[in-house]
Amino acid sequence: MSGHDSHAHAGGHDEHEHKPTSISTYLGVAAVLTVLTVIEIGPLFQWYNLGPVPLLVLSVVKFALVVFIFMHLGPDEPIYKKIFVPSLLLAGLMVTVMMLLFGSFTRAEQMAYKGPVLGYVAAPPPKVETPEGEAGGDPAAGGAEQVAAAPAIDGAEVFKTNCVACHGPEAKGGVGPNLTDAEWKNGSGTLADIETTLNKGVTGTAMISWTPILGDEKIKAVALYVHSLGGGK
Amino acid sequence: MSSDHSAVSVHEHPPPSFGVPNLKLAFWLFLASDCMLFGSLIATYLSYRGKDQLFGNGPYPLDLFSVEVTTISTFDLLMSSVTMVLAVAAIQRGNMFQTRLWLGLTALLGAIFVGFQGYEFTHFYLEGLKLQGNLFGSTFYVLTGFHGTHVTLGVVWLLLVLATTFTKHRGMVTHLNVEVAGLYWHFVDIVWIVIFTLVYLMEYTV
Repeated sequence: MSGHDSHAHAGGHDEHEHKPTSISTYLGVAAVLTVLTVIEIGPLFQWYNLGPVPLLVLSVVKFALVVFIFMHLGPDEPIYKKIFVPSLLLAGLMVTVMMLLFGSFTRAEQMAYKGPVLGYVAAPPPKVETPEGEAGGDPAAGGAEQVAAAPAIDGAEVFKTNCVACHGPEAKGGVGPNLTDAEWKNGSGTLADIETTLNKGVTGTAMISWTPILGDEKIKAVALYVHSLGGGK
Repeated sequence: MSSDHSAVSVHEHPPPSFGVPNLKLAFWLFLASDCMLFGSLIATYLSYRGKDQLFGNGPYPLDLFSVEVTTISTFDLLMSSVTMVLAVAAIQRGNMFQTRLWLGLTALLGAIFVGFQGYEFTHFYLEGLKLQGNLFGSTFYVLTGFHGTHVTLGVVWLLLVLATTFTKHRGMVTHLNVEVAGLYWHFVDIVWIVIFTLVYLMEYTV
């Protein structure tokens, strides 16, 4: 009846062979699960921030506690583990491989820089060449690309493509701070300060240096746009 | 010889080939395959995650997620796993009153979770998240919808077990049968543990 000799008798007994897990063990696990969940939800309420790795570890611990103790996979016959664990690992592998294939481990801003994903086009640039663009530009075939960059750039468009992932579609904040209020984490909200933040990024945050990605023209356009959102000074 | 054999199979379960109850073995096989189902749905969700932002095609997760609702429903489902193990422990001790109590509570907590999901889906839909509107909408509704369907079926299962204890067929409600219902219930809970982290919590981290 005790836990250790049950494996030796795997041939001929029923499910009552195992020593049942005690109620106090269940309640102890319930308490641990509750504490872990409280730790997990801290970032939701912005009490503190947890990186993806600690969150995954917490999730795996909770998962294992339920599977091995509540579902008895730990003390139960090994055949159940042999069925379930490989399948679980296979599912995890599939998730990881799919995410790798789809570039999920690449930062969103780098994805935006690399251009269209899966053949979709973000915002098809107008192919019509404006006469002003032709005046100073190269009339050769490469001209179309320059035309898209040369004339007045819509800062709102640049923002929509590159910034909404963190700052939200209305710039009201998300992962990154709200850009429409008078509170500024970096600089004082002047046009020059906003440009500086865009150019240099903010160390230790997702705010990278955008100069190599956007170029000066787009930086100026999006800085002007952000400055105009209500918080600019 | 053959009459001996048939006499056994009429009155008892077929002899187990692996030395474990066939029902439980088969159920773990089902759970293993269900792992792959949810694995593929989660893989799809995560593969498309953040891609809508590249095209400016909202609404995005952070526009919609409601911290309070998700926190409460997560706790609710977690606690239903606790009441479920208590139900299994109660039937093992032969305590029918407690078995009914904990089974009923588990079903109730499960129904509350489904209610929260109904509220969430309605809220999201009215905020403009459509099944065919963007990648987030498609993958989110399909993933959490399949999970919600599992919870709903689990509630029905538990209620059927509970109802059976009040009929003349109460002998069918054995430790094994309640334990297998519990396996399903816990599985649904662990799937939510994963979804809660990958779909919700990850949005609030950098």
